[in-house]
Parts: sequence; structure tokens; C-alpha cells
Amino acid sequence: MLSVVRSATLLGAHGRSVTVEVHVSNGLPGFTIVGLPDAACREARDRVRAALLSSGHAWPLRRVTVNLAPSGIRKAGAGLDLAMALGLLAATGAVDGRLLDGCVFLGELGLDGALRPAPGTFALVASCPATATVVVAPGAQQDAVAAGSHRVRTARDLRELLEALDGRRPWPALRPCAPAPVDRAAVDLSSVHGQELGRRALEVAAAGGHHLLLVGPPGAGKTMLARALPGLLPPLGDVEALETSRIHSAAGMRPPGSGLLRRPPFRAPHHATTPVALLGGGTATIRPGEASLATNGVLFLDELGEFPAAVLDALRQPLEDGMVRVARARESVDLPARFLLVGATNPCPCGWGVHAGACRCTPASRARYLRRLSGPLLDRLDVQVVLSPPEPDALLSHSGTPEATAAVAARVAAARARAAARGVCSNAALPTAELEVLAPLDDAARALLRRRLAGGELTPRGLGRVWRVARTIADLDGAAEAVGESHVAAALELRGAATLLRTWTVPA
Amino acid sequence: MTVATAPDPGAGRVVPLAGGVTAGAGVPDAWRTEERRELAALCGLAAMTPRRLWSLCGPDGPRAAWRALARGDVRAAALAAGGARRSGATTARLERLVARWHEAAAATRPEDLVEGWARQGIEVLVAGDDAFPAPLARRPGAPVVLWCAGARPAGAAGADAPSSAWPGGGAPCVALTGTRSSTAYGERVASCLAEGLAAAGVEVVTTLEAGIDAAVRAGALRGGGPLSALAAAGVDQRQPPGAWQAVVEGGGRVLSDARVGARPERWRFPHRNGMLGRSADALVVVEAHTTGGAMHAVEAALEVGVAVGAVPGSVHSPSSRGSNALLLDGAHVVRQVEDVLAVLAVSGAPAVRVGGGARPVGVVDDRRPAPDGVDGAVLAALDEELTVHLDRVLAVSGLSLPIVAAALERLVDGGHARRAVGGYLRAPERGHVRCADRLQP
Ligand SMILES: Nc1ncnc2c1ncn2[C@@H]1O[C@H](COP(=O)(O)OP(=O)(O)O)[C@@H](O)[C@H]1O
Ligand SMILES: [Mg+2]
Ligand SMILES: [Zn+2]
Repeated sequence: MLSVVRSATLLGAHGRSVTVEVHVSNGLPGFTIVGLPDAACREARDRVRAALLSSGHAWPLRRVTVNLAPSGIRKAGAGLDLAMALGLLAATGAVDGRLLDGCVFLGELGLDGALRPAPGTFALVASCPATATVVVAPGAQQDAVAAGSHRVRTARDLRELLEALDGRRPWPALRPCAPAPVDRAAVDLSSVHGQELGRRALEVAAAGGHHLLLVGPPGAGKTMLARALPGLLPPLGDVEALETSRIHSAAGMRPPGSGLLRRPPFRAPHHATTPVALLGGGTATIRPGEASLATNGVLFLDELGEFPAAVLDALRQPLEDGMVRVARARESVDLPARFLLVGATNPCPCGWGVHAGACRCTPASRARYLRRLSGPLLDRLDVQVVLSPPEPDALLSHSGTPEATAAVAARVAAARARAAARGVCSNAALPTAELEVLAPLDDAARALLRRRLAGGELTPRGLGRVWRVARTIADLDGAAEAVGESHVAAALELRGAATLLRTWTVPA
Repeated sequence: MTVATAPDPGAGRVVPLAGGVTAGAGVPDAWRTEERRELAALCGLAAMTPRRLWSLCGPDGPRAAWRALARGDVRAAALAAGGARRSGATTARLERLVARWHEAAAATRPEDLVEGWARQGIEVLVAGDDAFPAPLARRPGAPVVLWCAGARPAGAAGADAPSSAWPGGGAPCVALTGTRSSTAYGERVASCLAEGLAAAGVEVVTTLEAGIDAAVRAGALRGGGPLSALAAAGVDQRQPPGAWQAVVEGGGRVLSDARVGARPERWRFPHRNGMLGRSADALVVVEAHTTGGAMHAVEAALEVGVAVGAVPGSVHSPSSRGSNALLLDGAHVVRQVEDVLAVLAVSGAPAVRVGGGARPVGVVDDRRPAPDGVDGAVLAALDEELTVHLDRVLAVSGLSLPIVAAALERLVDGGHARRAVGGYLRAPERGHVRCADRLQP
């Protein structure tokens, strides 16, 4: 006797449909799982057996073969337990197989028959056909509801599930989503005193999607400013919210019961984080790394120079392509990784290099320190500013609170709307070929850029970056179509650290 | 550190120092003239130290010593008995060294060596020459020879003749130095002092480092006076290249007691700084941290009784802590050129020929329309000596970033402001009088 039950498994940041086929035949009693199960999945046999016995069912003393299709992808974890148990019951005739049609079963089983959430339920549900009824454990119901428009059903244990399936009792009611947890680390700009340049840099980075580098001595407020950035980004749209939630779910990063992620994520991995944890991968299963978790939000690399050079180099692929490709002998998985990169660093080993008279580092030690930042990575950061610690007066003055995040976010939203009207999601993504058309320069602006290029302060590669940033500044200014001299001058000012770091990397 | 007391100069015959070869009580005149090339060639051997040189030459002089080396007649044991071996060096090491010297001496003739240097524009100065910094030659620990690049007198008699055309010869000599990590204030004072002293015909001595010393070199060259910059490496190394070139092409000279070909090893820097402290009639520290090269120079100066002066700096600035501490310890207060001249007068240096030989200097002629409107408001937020961060310009002016950025661009373009690390500086005002102007009789 054969039965077929639908379920799903995780592959990278995505769910994949899995068909669980259970075949029961005469022969020596046994239980075999085929179709690339991992160790946890293989152990399903013991959990399913105990769960069936505790729920008042018999364990068939016959030959049981479970095939997990498609057979080419690795099935990870215990999330297929429930589907296997139901398949077995259907194959032995204990349950009417037709009741299972049109349903997708996602969940682990406890030895007492209890349903437990499958890791990555959000991502799993998101991969199910929209017409399917999704059956999940009570702990995963909010994720399942948030993941799409599926009919979601839940039950505490196997016994309750079977009774609800054949109509002997109603399905238990669903609980509403818990409110999104407040991000305690987030900083409101109203608590950032002084830092006029840093604030402008944040605003421009948020409005244009420009990657940002903050250079300054310890205590200048680099970390504080970076934490204020997600608040300036617009809330995630439906597509982004689903994508980000899915990735977080696949990585097992979502607190149970939270709904759709609507705030742009902020990920700040420590520099001791392993390359795999940062970029994704893993030995048994491929898990999304911090770069993917930051998708549609901010990836903050504090103390940029402390990260291993290999990691910084590897970040170039996501910055270029918006994804991390994890290649394996058997499979190659693309993990989405589109984020706004914010780096923070001291200008030199002692940290006070931008303060005349304060830094005692030798040009050689400075150059050595900065070379670790990896030139190709720095090249991709559009906005690079030197921060100075706030003056005591700025910290203590009570003459008015600094402008709050909400006010700045409103300007950012308006500027983003202007960019969207040009057909790009953000100015940072403006194709070079279209800069002349979408960001036309007036004569004075052109002359200024020519002067800086001729003087060598601006590299040809930096030109495109400055141009895009100038477009964003013009958008924030509510300016007309052409980008003016003042916008270019401001964009150059917001790249001041780049020139400095370049000259310091090559000591005289 | 007490500035008031210093040991008597010229105490011992030979003051052994790391590196370099010292003159002690003086190089015999015959060595300096007839046996000059051999003396220079001996000093140019690897790992030549004062003790080794003196025991090599003995009573017979450099020429005999070179010939003996070339023949292979020099015995390490004899050298060791003569005092050439110091506690560290084993006889075996000394033997290897003597073998290397023998190879070098057998392979080259002193005249070829000296001529080779001359072709690279390198001249040899022997302690006692007119062009050899006189204060340095007088003091214990003076090198026997210095190698010199730049300021080569036109039509000099020959590579091996004592040169006498150095304009600094016989002039009073002031060492100006300070931190590499300088402020705009310190650089401004340094270049003003150097310019004024150079214009007055005082020889200015400093190093090839960045920061204050760079400002000193620029000022001295502007003032048109003699400038000697001490290099840590051999003068042929042209290290650091930018500074080396600026001095040589600007009419100054680069001096070093490190033999030609010597790399800029770490230990050579403190050694060079010590030499700086002994090579002038007075040492002025413009801006310095409590530790570092300038303080090495001060220690060396105090040891041999060179007068030390310092320029007061901001009590907030870490880079003025060392110089301010010197003032507290009793160093002469230096605010302007006259203060330095006063120090020279009491320290028994040759008299200054005020105005003599100096170029006339005048008012900086940079008449620019005074900026007004937005530019004026932005300029008002800047300072001539303290780098102002953009945060402050934005806060003080209350203007938006594009407006401020465009105004700064115009101000820099018009020469009213300049970019500095971490912000902007205001350029000196229109009609600003150069410091050297005050010296006009
Ligand atoms: N502009 C500022 N306004 C208010 N507090 C500040 C400001 N800058 C720094 N601080 C305070 O100083 C602390 C250290 O700042 P932080 O962001 O950690 O500096 P950095 O990362 O540059 O070393 C912050 O947590 C904050 O309390
Ligand atoms: Mg920090
Ligand atoms: Zn430093």
C-alpha cells in the first residue's frame, strides 16, 4: 500500500516542496528512509514510532519504505516527521488518505505525539502552493499566517490533528500575532548631539542606498550613528518583508510568534564571526549568513580593519550581485544578500590620526593599518566621512533637541520617491550609462568635477560614486532635474575620508 | 630634566657612540688634508666605530692603515688590544670584520671611492672643514666625517679638497625641530622662525622628517639662508625621497654621518636626533610631545651644553606638552626670531649679521576681495591655526551641507581657506606680514 503526503524542507534561504511517499509491504519488518535524509531526518523513525504508539496507534510489523522526493536535494532536520507519520497511517489504512489531499504538513513530533514547530516554518510555508492548506504546530502558526495567504491549521498533537482532519472536532482557533519586538539597540537621531556631518552622511546613505564608511577616533559616535540608520530607511514593502522574514526564518533567527518583519533588519556581526556565519554556508545544511540576514536592511561592520581580509574580499560578491553563491559538490545555492553596508573604522592604530597633533603613528604603521581595509571594498563605499567627537558644548547644550529620526525619515522617503519616479529603487543602483540622462550635471558642476579629476583628488572610479551621491543630495534638496555645483561639492565633501585614506595608504 | 646644568664639553678624547665615527679632540690637520681620502674611505667601511678607527690609524695615520688593510696586515688581536673590541664583540667577530675590511680595501682605491661619491653629488666633510658644522665639530661625540649631498659649491677644487664655499661657514647655527604630528599653529611658527633666521643669515639645521621639521625646511628655503637637514640613512639613499629632493633642489644640503649606502635602520633615528642636538649653537623645540625625536635632541643638547629654547603651545594640545614642559624646566622662551637671536647672543655664537646677505622680504601680495555673504559666514567659522571640522562649520553657520560645501570650494579656490586632515583652515589674511619682515634694520 502506498500513500503520498506533501511537506517541505529548507535549502539555503528557501523552502522546497517535498513529497513524502510511504510504502508498506510484506516482508521482514523494517523502516527505511531514502532520498538524501540527513542524520536528524533519519532519526525520524524513532520519533514517529513513539508518537504513534503514544497516540493509540499500532506500529506495523511490516516492511516500511519512506521516499523523500525529489531525491536530489538534502532533507534536513526533523520537520518531515509529521508528514511521515501521517503517510504511514494512511498507508496502513488507519487514516483515510483522501483527507490528506490538498494539505501540506510541517512539523516535528515529540515522543508523546505533540506537534513541534519545524525550523524555518516561514520559509517553508512561503514555498507552498497558495491554494494549499498548511498544517503546522501551534508554536509556528503566526509564522505560517504571516508567510502568505495560505489556509493555516494547527493542532496540539497527533490525536487532535486526526480528529480535526476527519471532522470529529473543530480545528483549534489561531492566536493573533504578537506585536513586533522593540529593537532596544536602535538609536533615535534626537539623542545624537552635534555630528552635523555624520547626520548628513546617514541621511544621504539612507535616501540613495549608498554604502557608508564612518572614520573616526574611539568614542566619536560611529557605532551610535550606524545604529540610527535603519530607522531612516522606509519600512519594508510586502515583497521585501516576505523575503527578509523568510531568510530570518530559514536561519532560525525569528522569535516564535512574531509576524512579518516590517522593519529593515540591522545586523552587526562581530569581527571574530567566522566567514561561514558571515556569508552563509555550513557543513551539513546551508544556512544563510549575516550578509543574507541583513537583506533589505543594514549590515554594519564595526572595526572594519579587524575583519579577516578574506572575509572583506568575499563581501565583494554580494555587493556586486546581491547574493552569496555557496557552491558544493552536489549543489550550488544562491542566498540573497542585498544590504546597505556600513563600515566603521579608526583612521590609524591609535585612533586619533585625523586630529592634528594628537596622533603619533608613523606613516608606515598607518599605511599598514589601512591596507587591511581592502581597497576594492573601500572603493564600493559611496559615502566616506571623517567624524570628530562632539564638542562638550554640543553634548551638554539644552537649547533644543536635535532633529528626530522621524523628521529625517520623511525627507528620505520623499527623496526615494523621486528616485523611484526615475525607475530605480535607489540612486546607488543608477547604471553608469544612464547617469548623463538621469543625473544631468549643470556646467558649474561639471567644471568642479573636472578640476578635481585633473588635480588627482578624485579617481575615475570615484567619479561615478560622487555623481550618484550628488543625485541623491539633489533629490533631498528637492532640486530640479539637473545636479548643481553645490550638490557635487557636498558629494565630494561626503567622500572626504576616501581621499585621506588613499593618501595615507601610500606613505610618502 | 634640568636645563641649567650641563657637563663640560670636550671631556674625553674619544666618546664612543653607536654608529658614526667621532672626532674626539679633533682630527689631525694632516689627516684632514693629505690623508683625507683614506680617512673618508676608512670611515665608509661597514661597522666602523670610533674606537676601531682610532686603533686602526694609530700614530701612523689613515693612509698607512688603509694600506695595511689592503695588504691584509691588520690583525684583529692587535685591534682588540688597541681598544677596538668592546664588551659585546668577540675576537672571532672582529676577525670576520677585519677580513671584510681587507676585501673592501684590496678591491678599491680610496680615490676611486671618493670620486664615485662625487659623481653621485656626494661630498665628504671632515670635522674641522669650514663647511663642517662648527658647533658639532667642537663637541664630544662629533663624527669624523659627514657625507653631504646638495649645495655643492660650483667649480669646487675637487672631490677630495676641503670645501669652503658653504654660505653657512662661520655663521651662527640654530637647530629647529619638533614633532612629526604637528598642528597648523606649530607649522606656522616653525616656518616663520626658520624663514626669519635664514633671512638673517643664520644657518638652520633640522631633520628630513615630516611635520614641524618640514615646515622648518620650507621656511628656511624661503628665507634664502643656509639650510642643513640631517638624514638618518646614508645621503645616497634619498630617504625620505620628497624631503630629500626639496632640500637639495632648494639650495640646502643633506648631511649624514651614516656611511654611503647605509639603510634607514631603526636605531639610526635616535642617533641622528642626538647629533641634531649637538650640531648647533642653540636648539629650539617648536612643538613636541613629551617623548620622541625632539626630546632625544634636547637630551643630547643638554649633555654638551647647547642652549635650549622652546615655543609655548596650547595647553590643550598633546603635541605641545613636551615643549611646554621644557619651558617649565627653564628652557628659553621663544616667541619670535629676536628671542632666538637673544639666546644665540648669550651662548657665545658668532654674531648675527642682521640684514646682511638676507634677501629683502616684504608683504605677502595676495590681494583678494574679502568674501562676503555666505562665503563670509563660512569663512568666519574657520581658524588660521586650528583645523575646524565640518560639523562646526555647519553648526555655526546654520547652512545646509550643499551651500557650505559650495562656499568652501570657492574659498579654497580663491586662496582664503585650505583643506587639512580632518577639516579646513583659514588662510592667513590679506596683507599678512611675513615674520622675517621684522628683522629689517
Ligand atoms: N554625538 C553624540 N551625542 C550623544 N552621545 C554621544 C555622541 N557621540 C558619542 N556619544 C556617546 O558616546 C558613546 C560612545 O560612542 P560610540 O558610538 O560607541 O563611539 P565609537 O563607535 O565611535 O567608538 C555612545 O554610546 C554615546 O553614549
Ligand atoms: Mg564603536
Ligand atoms: Zn594614530
